[in-house]
Amino acid sequence: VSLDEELIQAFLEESTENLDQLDLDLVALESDADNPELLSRIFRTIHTIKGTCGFLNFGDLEGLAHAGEDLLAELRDGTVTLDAAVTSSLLGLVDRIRAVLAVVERTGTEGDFDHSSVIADLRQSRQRRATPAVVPPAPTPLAPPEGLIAAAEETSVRIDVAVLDHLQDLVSELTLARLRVGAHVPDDGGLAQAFRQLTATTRDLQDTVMQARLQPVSTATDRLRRIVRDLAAREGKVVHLHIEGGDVLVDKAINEVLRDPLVHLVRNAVDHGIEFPEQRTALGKSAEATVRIEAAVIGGGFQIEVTDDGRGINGARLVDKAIAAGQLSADRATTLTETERVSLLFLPGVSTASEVTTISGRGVGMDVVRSNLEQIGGSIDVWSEPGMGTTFRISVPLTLAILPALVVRCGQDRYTIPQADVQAIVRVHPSNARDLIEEVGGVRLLHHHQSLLPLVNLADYLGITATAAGEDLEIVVVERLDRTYGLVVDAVGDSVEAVVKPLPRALRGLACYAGVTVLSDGQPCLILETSAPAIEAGLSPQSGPTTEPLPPSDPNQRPFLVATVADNRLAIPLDHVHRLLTVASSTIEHSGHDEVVQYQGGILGLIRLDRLLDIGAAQDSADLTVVVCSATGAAVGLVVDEVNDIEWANPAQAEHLEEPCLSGRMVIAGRAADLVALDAVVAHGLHRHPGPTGGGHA
Amino acid sequence: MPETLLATFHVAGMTWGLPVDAVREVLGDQVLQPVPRAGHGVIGMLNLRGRVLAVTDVRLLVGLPVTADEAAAFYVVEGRRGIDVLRVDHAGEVVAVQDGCAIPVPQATPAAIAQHLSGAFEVEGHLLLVVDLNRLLDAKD
Repeated sequence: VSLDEELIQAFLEESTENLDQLDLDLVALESDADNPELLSRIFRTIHTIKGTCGFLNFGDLEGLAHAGEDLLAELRDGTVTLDAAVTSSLLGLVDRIRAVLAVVERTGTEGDFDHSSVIADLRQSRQRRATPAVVPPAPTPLAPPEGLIAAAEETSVRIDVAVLDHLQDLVSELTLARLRVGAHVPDDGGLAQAFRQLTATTRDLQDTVMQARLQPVSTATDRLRRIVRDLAAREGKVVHLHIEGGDVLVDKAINEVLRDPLVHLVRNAVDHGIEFPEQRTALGKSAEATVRIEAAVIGGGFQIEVTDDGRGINGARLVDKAIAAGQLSADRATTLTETERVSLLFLPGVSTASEVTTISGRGVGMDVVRSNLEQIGGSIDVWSEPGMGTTFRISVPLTLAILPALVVRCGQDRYTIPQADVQAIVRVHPSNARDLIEEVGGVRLLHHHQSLLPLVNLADYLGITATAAGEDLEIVVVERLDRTYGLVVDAVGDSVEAVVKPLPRALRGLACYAGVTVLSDGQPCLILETSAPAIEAGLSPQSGPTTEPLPPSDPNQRPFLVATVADNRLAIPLDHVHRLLTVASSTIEHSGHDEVVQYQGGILGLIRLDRLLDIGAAQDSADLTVVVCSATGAAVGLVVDEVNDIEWANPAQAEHLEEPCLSGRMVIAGRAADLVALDAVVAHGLHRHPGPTGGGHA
Repeated sequence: MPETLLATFHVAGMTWGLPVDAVREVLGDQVLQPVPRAGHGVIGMLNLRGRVLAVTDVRLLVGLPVTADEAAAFYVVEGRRGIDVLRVDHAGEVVAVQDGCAIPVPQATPAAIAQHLSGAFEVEGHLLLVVDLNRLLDAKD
């Protein structure tokens, strides 16, 4: 490699990185035009490129950079104001430099470009004189801390991911070898001391290698700013891009995988999802549309959501297309839920091809996006509400990350639960079980902080035999995807820093595991996918374990307590249920026109749902079943015939009813149930305004 | 005449063989970690130098009853779709066979086994069945 080639290579690497930064800076500058630091950095980058070109004898590129530098100098001095046209001419400059660099990389020469139109654009921008009213920003000393910058650049090098992979494997082997040696090291003495040193160094090495692979998600998301800006400008739409969680660290491989799907989703959102400003205004929406990107590590996986507030996806049209493409039978079409209809867009030949434009139509359908993600064990789901917008959620397993996790024992085996999903650990002594645990329709419920949580027995769920060590019931309260439930285990163990490894091929597709890790004794240990037990328990509490893949979880599903009153099924939002009581009719007192009972040192108003809703007579019995709920900050007791079940359902799918105390009718577990509107029930059902909730808590 | 090297092993009294290239290593007795709800012949997993691999019992793949034979061996194999571990009754030798001397799979072989075979050889008076690894492993999916 000659010196020249080396210089060119260094120039290319440095410039490519700088240009990516320029894209970001220019778009940022548009909304922060007075930021002298941004301007200085942009100026410096172009200035450096110009200088290096002179050195390498790339005369045309030098001239181009010079024209850009002239414009930037005037911007800096405040004689030109930045507007969309000026930004566009500068972005045009960046694109052109990038194109030239690509040629340099291939041929070693700057190629045969005609830069005159780009330069003309830049010159034209210099005519956009600042109005005298604008106070020129104080001249900022350019004084680039050159030494500092050079030093910062030299501290990072590019490493092939394959090398990192290999390094990772070597460290794992070293760790296991250390464990084997450790079994033969005496407890003290010189050898023991040396072994402790080895242990500490191995751990350091492991952490360092791990760090080397991590990268902020912003590496994949930041470039979307430029794409959204360009696309919106070309389409005449006003779009605000909001990115959250860009600082989340993930494996570089994940960023690579996300890159194309994200571009595709954002393009689709701006191009198809978002309406023109005048349409939006006419619909009563703000003229400026929003595309939100939210990244987070949840459980054993990484999730990124792309949400727009545009027109939503036309499910009926997708159904027509899927039928036309031979992907769906007309019979089956009639049975699809709205989420399933919208999800048809992942089928081959269904992606809305008729709406493809020159910009977003890159020939890649959503089916390709999905199959690419599935290849690495990921998934993509979609929810859409007509007129309100669309959310895509990409989930990928964290193939390589350190996950704080809780080790639990169940039967003979250990499992880990991501610490982020663990809300609490509850130990229930048999003497307290009656107070803390209730049983409804075969589901056990735990009283926990004013709410009732369904309990899932891990041994039953996994289909293994539990060997409870003590008498106490060990419960891990898990919160995942807005669902909280208690997982009953045999014993709760230590917290560990689990190195997440992908599931072996033969185990992929098992919804119950998110990954696998190796514990410090060298044994592999499965990481539980905590959303799966909740979905399974919620959808069919009494069914045995299945190995069927789970349906895509609908984040809008909520748990409901299903009760019967005079043969009507009523659904009460479980979030508002405090307790189930059995009240002897003889203990009912009267306060004005209301029936009340003593409850937790206070008075609880009772509402007879059969009378309030006028739905026939409830069963007559000596003991009343009372569901204690909170509404508008007060506790009331709803009298029902029987409490049947806990079920999950999406209340947004309820059909409206002409009955003030019912917010709608929906299908729960295959049968119709009426959704109780608690606030209205309290307002209509009690004559006197209910008092505040009693002092005691469940 | 070209030769092929086969790594052999024993299952239910039969001798089976895999091309040696497909076998990465053979492990002795192993402690497996169970994987509840796995199915498809998977009987557990093990940690091989930092890599967690699923272990499949060959007997389950071909519909034979499982035994608790302590002489069991574990073949780390690499098929089209990655690395798997197969539990077999016990390990065998590496045998060289002449490519031209293949004989048809005997009619009497049960269909559940025959469908995973690519051919057979007669070696010193014994029958050696050659397994098509990809077909055997794909049977799980």
